Amino acid sequence: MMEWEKIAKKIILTNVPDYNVSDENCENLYYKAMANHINRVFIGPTSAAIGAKFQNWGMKTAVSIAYPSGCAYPDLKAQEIKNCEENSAADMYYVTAAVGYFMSGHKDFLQEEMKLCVEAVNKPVYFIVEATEMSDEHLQKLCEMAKSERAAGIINSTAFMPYEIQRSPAEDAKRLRQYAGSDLEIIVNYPFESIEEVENVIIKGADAVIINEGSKIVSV
Amino acid sequence: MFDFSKVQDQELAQKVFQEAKSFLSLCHFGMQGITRTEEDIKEIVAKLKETKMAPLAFDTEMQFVPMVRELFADYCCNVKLHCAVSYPMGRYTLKTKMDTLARLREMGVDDVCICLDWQAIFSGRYSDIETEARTIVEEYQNDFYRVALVIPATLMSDTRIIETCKALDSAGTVSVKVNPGAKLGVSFEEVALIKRIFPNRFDVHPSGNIRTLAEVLRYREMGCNNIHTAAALEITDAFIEKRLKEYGGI
Repeated sequence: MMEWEKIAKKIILTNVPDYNVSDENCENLYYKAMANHINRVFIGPTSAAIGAKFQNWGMKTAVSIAYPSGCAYPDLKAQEIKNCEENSAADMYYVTAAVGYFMSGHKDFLQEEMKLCVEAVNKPVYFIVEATEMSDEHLQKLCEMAKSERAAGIINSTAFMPYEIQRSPAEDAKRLRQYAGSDLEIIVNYPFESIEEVENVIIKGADAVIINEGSKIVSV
Repeated sequence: MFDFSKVQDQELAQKVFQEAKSFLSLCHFGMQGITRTEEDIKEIVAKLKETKMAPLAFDTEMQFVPMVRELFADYCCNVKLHCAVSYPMGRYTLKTKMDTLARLREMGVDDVCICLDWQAIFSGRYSDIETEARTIVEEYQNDFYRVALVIPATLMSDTRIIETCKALDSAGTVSVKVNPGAKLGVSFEEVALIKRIFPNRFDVHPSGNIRTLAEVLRYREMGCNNIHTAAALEITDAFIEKRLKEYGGI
């Protein structure tokens, strides 16, 4: 088993898929991350004011865009990034891609989305998909576009549990790594409940994992 | 969908069809979500078209609006299109919500709901909720058939529901959608609470976990005329059978 310190470096702690998030919950997310030696958190745009308080605490903050449906026009997503930049709490952005529209054959739409979002900000921009629901052909195209548009990486899932969709985190890590090569960071988002599950997706090719703050893995 | 040709008395069939049409016109119908494809949408539109009825509005995602509009172009009924903004947790900043609403208005979308900033609600920042609601209402109230503001009532205490509704009242809000769906289902108690504390004040839209005819009829008795249910067509079928039984047509 990997040492916790090593695993913690690969963990991003989040409350984004949760419904019941208050200012206090959001502050506690940061404290919980610090207590568990995790230095990255993933929050929503309405939590950015809390994120700004922790900017000089050695923490990196990712902010969600178009979460969880990803159903907005490319220019609106780019504009959302610009709107979030007004309080400058974010170190990076995780944009939910228009997955269903892409799978309907609108490759250009997703390419435009990646282009505009990456151009909107001089910070790393990642794209969230639902990899288990996507064919190998889709994932290959997705990774090619992400590379050509200089995206920082791909996140396999929204981990938004009200969506009744399939999720296979280890398989997603393996498939995405196959098409991303070493050019894109692969992050696996899943309601992980054990360190063994986390280790498994790392072995399969994930560079990092997103863990919900409610997970028993982060017990402090 | 119910086959009216099986009813012997066609005059009665026509009467019940008209009543069913009116019944469905108080319910939303549609499909949303990250992995929904054009094929999924086409399938559900075809299913609706078999009924020859129109729901109160057809719920869809922004990028599918042009296609859905085209699919309904030759339909016998006028179908309003509905899009949800910052759905379901209200995590967009107010500026992004306003940008999105501006685009939907430009696209000619008929009806919208907007999830309020739930983090503000759960933090008791009611003045922020009032500001958000007022900004949206002042700009867009008259540009859509309904501008419903969504609250996660099921996750809120009675006090929090009341305080939030006070903020919405001050902001001039007309329509309040009680829960977004997406596993957060409305209860009769939540609607009754709002109706009791704010009598004749809000146009209340119950949403989520409404699965039966009895539930829809009860919400209608409570004065709700804008009901969000994923089972709208199945419930309309149940309504038709109930009416035919009452009239002796089955």
